[in-house]
Amino acid sequence: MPRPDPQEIDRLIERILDAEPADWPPLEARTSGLQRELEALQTVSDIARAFRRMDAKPRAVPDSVQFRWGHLAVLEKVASGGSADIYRAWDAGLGCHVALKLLRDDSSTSTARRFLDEAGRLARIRHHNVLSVYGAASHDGRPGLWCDWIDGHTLTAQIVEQGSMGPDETIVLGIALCRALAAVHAAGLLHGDVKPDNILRERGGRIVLADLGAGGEPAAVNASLRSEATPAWLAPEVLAGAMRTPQQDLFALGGVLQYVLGARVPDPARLGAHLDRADVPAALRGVIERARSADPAQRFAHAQEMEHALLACLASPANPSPSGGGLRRGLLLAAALAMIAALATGLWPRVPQSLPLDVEVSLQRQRGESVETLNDGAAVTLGDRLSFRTHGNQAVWLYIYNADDRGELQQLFPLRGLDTSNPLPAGRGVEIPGRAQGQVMRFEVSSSANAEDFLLVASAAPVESLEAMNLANAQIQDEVNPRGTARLVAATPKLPGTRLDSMAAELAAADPSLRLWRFRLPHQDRPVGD
Amino acid sequence: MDTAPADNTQQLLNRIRSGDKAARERLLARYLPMLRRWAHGRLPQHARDLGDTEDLVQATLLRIFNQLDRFEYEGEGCFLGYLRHVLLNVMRNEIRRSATHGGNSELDEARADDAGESPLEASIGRERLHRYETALIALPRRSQELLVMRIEFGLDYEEIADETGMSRDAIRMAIKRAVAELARRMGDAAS
Repeated sequence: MPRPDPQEIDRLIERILDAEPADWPPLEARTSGLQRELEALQTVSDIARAFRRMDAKPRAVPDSVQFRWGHLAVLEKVASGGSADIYRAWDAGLGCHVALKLLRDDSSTSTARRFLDEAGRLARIRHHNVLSVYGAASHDGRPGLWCDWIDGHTLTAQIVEQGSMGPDETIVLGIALCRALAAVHAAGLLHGDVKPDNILRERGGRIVLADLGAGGEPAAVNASLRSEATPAWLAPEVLAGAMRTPQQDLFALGGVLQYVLGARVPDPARLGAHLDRADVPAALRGVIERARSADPAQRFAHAQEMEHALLACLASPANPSPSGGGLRRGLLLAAALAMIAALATGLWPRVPQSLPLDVEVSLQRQRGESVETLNDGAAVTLGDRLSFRTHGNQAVWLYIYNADDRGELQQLFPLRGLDTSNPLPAGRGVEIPGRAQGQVMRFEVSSSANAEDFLLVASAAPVESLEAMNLANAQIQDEVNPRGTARLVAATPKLPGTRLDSMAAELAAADPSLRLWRFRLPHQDRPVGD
Repeated sequence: MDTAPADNTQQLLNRIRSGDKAARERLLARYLPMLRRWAHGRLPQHARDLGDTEDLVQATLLRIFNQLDRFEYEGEGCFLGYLRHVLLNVMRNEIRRSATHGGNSELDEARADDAGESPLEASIGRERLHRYETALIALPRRSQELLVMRIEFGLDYEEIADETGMSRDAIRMAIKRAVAELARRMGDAAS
């Protein structure tokens, strides 16, 4: 029975890698010992070709040309405005469709001049998130400008058709628009009419800030804008007659973010953030509130500042609301980072072992040379040095949390920088935090509060949601003090253990095989009045 | 004459870590379109939030870029592989989430299976795709990276050489060997 020549297989693989149709060995070869491998290669070939098909750009050949305007083949009228018509056209030079905005024949000379001036301003901006104007000219007596053809829809259309956006989606939108506005402002221009109708979402998701028709040089904008822009998105001082500044584009952007989250046009009389949904993270709510602050001095000074605030929302832990979509998505995205960590360290999630998990945990305090075991409820004081001791009958993934001053969770273990990491080995005692670069570490009670509150979780396998939090919390690493103690931040007196309680309940409900421990240690020297 | 900053992935990552925003933009511009197209083929189109591939991809990338200092980048050529694994995981969770609403996890899995096919699944078939994925992640990581860059992202050998610092010929040989090994593992799994 003939076996395929190794060189033939080699050529076959080359064809597969080039995503080309392959010359498969004749049928009889399929009955040889290579049958399954050939089938596998066929699968790989199909996958390579499927990806290549998905990558292929659609052919963009002009269909029926209505007329020519300069070098453009005008294909169809897509919209009519007050003084101009919008066409889809084919730009042979660029090899793509463009949008052509042509002034009507009856436009006055001054209108035509303003129009071309506007085009010149817009063409100064080149940014991924700003509609690109390629050029402006006058042909056959008709001034026009041509720009990106966006295959997509406005934000208004999206919200009307599909409803409000999730928090993460909103953050990404906001970041894109901050960058767009930064580019506009860097060119010395104002947009002047930031609103959902002027924001396009291209198919595939690119956000494009469009229609700077109301915008331009600040002086020109201030001379004309109040009659042209839309009141719902304008800052109160502008409605009262104040000169416009780039910051007011950011005020409008705050309104856009509120709109996409709430699917309601902002009420110009109600400043700040007004959202009826519980899943919007406090950080995002805070960005909107600041952007739409009544006091201009409290608002973001420039687009980059607002962008940084939005980026911080993305990096911050997800909103705690257990039923909110924001939490779910936040954790999902954070889970991505946990996967990166797994890849970086070669720690792929293990299959849980079938042996029932048996873990012992104790809490210990070191004072001077003496070490004592503490029970739940034992009093602690500033400067106390704490550690946990664990012993499991199998490899254990351990997670330790307490609450920080704001009542938010803080992860104490695992921590990068420690010599000890998950999984903890089976059959011997392990001390947490253990060592860092060979030096013994302890958690030190370093601030006074009502109590220290701990949650410990043990599992025979990585706990996905906790792995996700592991990297979502950017403050973890900072808590490792290289001089010998891992600092422990005290829980806020007003919310002792609130989130730890809910977290413990959620974890227990989600996976009954998890082992959970709580330690609440009141401070001996709690602040007077608390 | 100014010297243009070097811009292979490793150098861009280093510059991002040192706070270079332009490097961050360049890396985003390099990977976003590629990953978006890739992700698009991986997502079923039945659910509204799944259609917004850009959000998922961009949010994931931004998170990764925000926290680059929180993981170790293990050598050249791996970053695209990281991104791919990360996104695959995110998308799987997203697909599952869109098809489920909490409760019985076994039921959730079953529902997720009925959640609609991605274009890739529709083209290849779930079982075959699963076999490919399973064999792929069992390969040495370097082989995974090379295969993914060539097969899934369609990078040519020159681009992969730029990414990895390996020579074009070495890349070609390594990828061919990796395909052969992948097929062997897939064949073993099917028997």
